[in-house]
Amino acid sequence: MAGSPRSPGRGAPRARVQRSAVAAGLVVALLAAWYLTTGPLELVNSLQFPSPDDAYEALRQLTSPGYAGATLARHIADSLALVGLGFVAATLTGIPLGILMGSSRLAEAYINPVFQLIRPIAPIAWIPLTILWFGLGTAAKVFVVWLAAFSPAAINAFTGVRNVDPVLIAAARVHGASARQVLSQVVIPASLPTIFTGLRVSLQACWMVLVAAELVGSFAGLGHIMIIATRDLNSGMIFVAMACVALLGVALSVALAWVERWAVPWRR
Amino acid sequence: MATLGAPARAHAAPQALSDSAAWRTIASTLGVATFIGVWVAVTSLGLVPPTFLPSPTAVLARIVDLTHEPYSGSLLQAHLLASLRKFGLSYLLAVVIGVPLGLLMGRFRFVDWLVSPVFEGLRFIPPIAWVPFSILWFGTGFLAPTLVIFAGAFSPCVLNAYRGAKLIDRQLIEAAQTLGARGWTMLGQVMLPAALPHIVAGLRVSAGFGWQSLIGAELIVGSTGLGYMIVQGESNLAPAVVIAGMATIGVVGALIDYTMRALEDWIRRDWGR
Amino acid sequence: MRSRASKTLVGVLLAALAGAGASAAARAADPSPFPVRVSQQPQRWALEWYIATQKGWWQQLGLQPTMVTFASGAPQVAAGASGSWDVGGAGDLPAVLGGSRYRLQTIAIADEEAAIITIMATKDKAEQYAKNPALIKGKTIPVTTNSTGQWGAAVCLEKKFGLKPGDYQFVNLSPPEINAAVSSGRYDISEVWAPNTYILDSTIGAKVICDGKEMGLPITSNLFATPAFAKKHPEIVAKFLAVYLRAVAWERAHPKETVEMLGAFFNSVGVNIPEKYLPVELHNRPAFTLQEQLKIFRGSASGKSLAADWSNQVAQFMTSVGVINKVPDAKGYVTDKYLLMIEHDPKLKAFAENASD
Repeated sequence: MAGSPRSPGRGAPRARVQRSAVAAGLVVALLAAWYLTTGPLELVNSLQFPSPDDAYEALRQLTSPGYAGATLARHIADSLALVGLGFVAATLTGIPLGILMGSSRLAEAYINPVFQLIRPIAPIAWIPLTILWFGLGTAAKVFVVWLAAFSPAAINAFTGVRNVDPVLIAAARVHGASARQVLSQVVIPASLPTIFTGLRVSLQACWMVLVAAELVGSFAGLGHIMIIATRDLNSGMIFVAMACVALLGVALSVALAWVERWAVPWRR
Repeated sequence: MATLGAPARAHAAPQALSDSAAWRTIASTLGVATFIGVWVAVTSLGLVPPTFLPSPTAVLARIVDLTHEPYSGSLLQAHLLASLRKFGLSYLLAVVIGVPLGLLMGRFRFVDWLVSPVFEGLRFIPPIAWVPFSILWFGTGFLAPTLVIFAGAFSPCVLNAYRGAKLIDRQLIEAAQTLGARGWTMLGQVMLPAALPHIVAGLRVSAGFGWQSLIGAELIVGSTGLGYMIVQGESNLAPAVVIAGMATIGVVGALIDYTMRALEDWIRRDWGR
Repeated sequence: MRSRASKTLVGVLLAALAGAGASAAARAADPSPFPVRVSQQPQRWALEWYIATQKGWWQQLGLQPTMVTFASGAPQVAAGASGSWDVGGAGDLPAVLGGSRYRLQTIAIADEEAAIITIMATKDKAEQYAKNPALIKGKTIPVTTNSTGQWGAAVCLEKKFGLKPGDYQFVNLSPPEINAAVSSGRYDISEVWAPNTYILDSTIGAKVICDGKEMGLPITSNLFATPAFAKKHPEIVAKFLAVYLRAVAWERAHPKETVEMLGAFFNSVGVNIPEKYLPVELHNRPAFTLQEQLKIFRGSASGKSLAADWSNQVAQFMTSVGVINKVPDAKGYVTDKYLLMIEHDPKLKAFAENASD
């Protein structure tokens, strides 16, 4: 699921120039089309899609004095904090569980059926129960994010551990490594690439459930802007919030790829 | 995404008794029993009030009720059918547009360059974030959830078709070209079969995302479907209805996944030679 | 309309002349009803249309309605802009929002409902809060933000309980989520509107400690027509309104049957409230007859009607919370045109004031 379409043969500098030219041309064309259809040609009602002016106006209002109870910086900070907390919670619980299930077949047999029972339920469908159980505070929202991010983390840790070459483990045992040493010095390092794939999927899942989590009584956040702006039929505001979500999503993905290169240098 | 289950067991080292199939079955049964046992215990011992968590029997009874007494206007099966119809249409749309697009992007650099910048930005937008615009564009009509489900299901279709196309042996394409394959023939008769295992893997992921997006869309807007039933249950303070809805979503989601996985295995077997 | 009638006439003549089969003649004699898409919500004010459907009144005016049901006002008003429906009803805030965004025409009041915009507190806290409002200080209060619910709650807290906005914290939730939050026991005070007031009263014994009527707020639901449809088919809008007004007249004359109808209507749209609340709901949300409506809308042309004043007050609240940037001119979207069309058409007037079956 992860990874981006990118031409693998990025060697030729000429191709790179061409590629940038196509991208730039596209962006210009899109902007022109946006301006024309919402502005002079009046093909699109500003209620249905904002004109560049509307979007700029919304952005200005968001930066100061703010909208839906906070300024843009606070909305972004709240969303990032929420995703961060959910991601950390999912990582801290999902990876150990995955490793446990990966290293013990009995544990796998015990946990997996229940895990498989609960996993297909969409995280957002938990919202009513979440409000009942956790109220409206941070815990409730983190729970929803955790629900989405937990299973990719656990599943990939499990697969990573299970697919470690048995010869490697046997070799370590022969050389007198304890079970603990085998786990920490052989199994975990060897499964790290798969675990990282899981983390990337997991982070993306966090991001994908962001708006849903902010349905649970939030004071600020990008999803919160969208919820309020929908009630206000403010298409400019919706557009700005979506653009922020998209840009931050790309940024997060790039950042994680960077961390991955740093933490698993032998991967590429 | 990797899978739990069969493939991983393939190289199971013959170990102690604890690894035998019988023990695993017992452990699995125990696992489910623990889950249900804890659920029964906390509800029947009064540790949590029924308004927080109804007992499993209450939920089961509710599910049975829902199949012959309409809730918020429809029976459970009618809600399910409404959800499935929205899902089916949108999913089909995502596949029909996404897969050819992915193949084209994999085949022609120009298409790749043209589509990627937009696609890369859009795919980080959560499907639920399309709800506001889907409302503004389509009201709460049939098309409104379609856009949201489409947003969820589209990108795995494109990505996997793209990756599949990229991995096709160049010689295969060149051979086809010398034999005169062009345009749709190339796409449909050469590239599609060659990339099929990848595409089908994408279809499975995409079905899962689509199903989850649908529920989100129904929870926020809509007057039919399982998500709507859950909201009504929430509104009427009937947690048993909420859990009944969640269980249905889970079972159907699992069934969709199971079907797609069977399809994937079948194609892998046939193509793997 | 005239061309429609003449077409029918020609049709009948032709059929008779040709001596065509009886079925064909019957089809031609029955003027094909005008399809009109009515947007509604599962709310008390949609009862009038339900009654009209049960009684077959739409057909009597040659209308063929399709009901389009929405759960809340914002998506409904948005859908109106994209042409998903022609006429309908919603809360005054969405109606004003539509008026401000695309001149959605407010053509009548659907019902008065300040009494069902409330602050509720849980059973154990209701009396304490009413006696000593200072206890509310520092509380987190679930509200549906940017709605008349928030308006009612803010005014209640300020005027009745003497609290400043900084003394409490509003948190945004949709009405179903408010029910869940209150029943979780974590939030003992909350903004609630009908029918959730009844649900919370009957299930957990929560009590209303303040409502919008007490505060004298002009909160209503309104009937409206999209500007495009109103311009193209004004006579259909008037007929649509006449059907509604007839149901109001009927309700006045048949209070007992009205309660039963409300129960049946709520059942059909999935609202489950105990029967004992049905009369309460009708009492709290009165609807207005043609003559009463005319009074409320008198002076619409100059923007000086009571209806315009109510809409302006709502618009001021909306401006204060940032829903819209400025109060729109009521002249542009609050109109008595269709009420007057009925008043000036003796046949339509008689229809609208006919209180019998």
